Amino acid sequence: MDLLDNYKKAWDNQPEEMKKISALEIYKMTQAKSSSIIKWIFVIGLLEFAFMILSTFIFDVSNDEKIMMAMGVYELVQISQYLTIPVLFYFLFLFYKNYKNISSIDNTKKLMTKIRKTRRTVRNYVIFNLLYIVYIAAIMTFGMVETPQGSFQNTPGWIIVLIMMLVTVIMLLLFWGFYQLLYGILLNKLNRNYIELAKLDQKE
Amino acid sequence: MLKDLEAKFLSDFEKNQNIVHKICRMYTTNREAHNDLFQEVTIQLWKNYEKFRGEAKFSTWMYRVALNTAISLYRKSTRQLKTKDISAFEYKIKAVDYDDTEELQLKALYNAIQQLNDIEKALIFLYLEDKPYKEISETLGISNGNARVKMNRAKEKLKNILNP
Repeated sequence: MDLLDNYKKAWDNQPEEMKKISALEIYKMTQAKSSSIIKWIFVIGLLEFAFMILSTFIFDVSNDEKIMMAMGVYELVQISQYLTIPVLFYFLFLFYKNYKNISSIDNTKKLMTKIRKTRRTVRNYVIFNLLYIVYIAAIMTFGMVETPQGSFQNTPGWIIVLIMMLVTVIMLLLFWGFYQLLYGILLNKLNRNYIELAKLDQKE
Repeated sequence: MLKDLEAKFLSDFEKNQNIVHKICRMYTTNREAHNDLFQEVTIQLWKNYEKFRGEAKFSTWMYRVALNTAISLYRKSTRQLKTKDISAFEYKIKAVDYDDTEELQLKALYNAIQQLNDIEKALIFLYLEDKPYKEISETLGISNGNARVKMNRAKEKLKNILNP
């Protein structure tokens, strides 16, 4: 007899769980809040969207606006800000659609693919925002070099460019690092299992 | 209407809960995590129960949702300490012609399964539960042929752990 067959017999004869959960306890559990990965991605995604929208209200930009006007780049910035609104809604729509699509009745592979897709939507939104930061930084740099403001008035152009580049890169790295860490922690197990499953489905 | 659905769910689940306990015992290493995963599985089952509509057997459907929760949705198990001690689990011991060979074998089997990766665990679990390859491949979303090949490999790995 095969070694596993012995263990299989023990498995088949395995006694019932002693700590049976009663129907009442099961009922209570159905009322509890899920702490699944999907839920976390959804909550974090919504927070990201909320943060990006709120940040335009929270930070006092009136001073920046004056500088922008003085540099003659105010319209350029304002138009781009309006243009980001439909993009934001597009991402929100995609995000919600992906989220709604996730179901634990799907087969394992499909489920993992959908979770990863939802997370990718949020990541793409983050990338979009980071690119937007670069765009604004570029406009500001251009404005600063053309018509230097405040303490930059006697600074050579190349130093302004260098400083702006440095500040932008640091900001991008901070944001990116934060997201990598956040989703890394959240999806570490899922990604590992996804790779294992993908390996399983490779043709021999 | 919802009350009827709820009552049906509770009674179906109560009867079949052993499936979930077995999965929790494979995927977690202590009682707290076991209960935690059990709870998340319960939430997922209830959330999708309306879509279930009795197309498949309740237990078949349960296998899928419970394994999905353990593999893809549940988040906390990676933080648990890896320990081989599963004595914290209490199981009914049959009083009639008591023989602890099977009990020890079962313990050894669970310990060995815990050393497999999450996907191998699912494969081995479905094999132990006598699921046909068709159902295994459909549950995991891989091809039938691959399910067979990888199952043999997972079994070999398990044998090596059981009998190094």
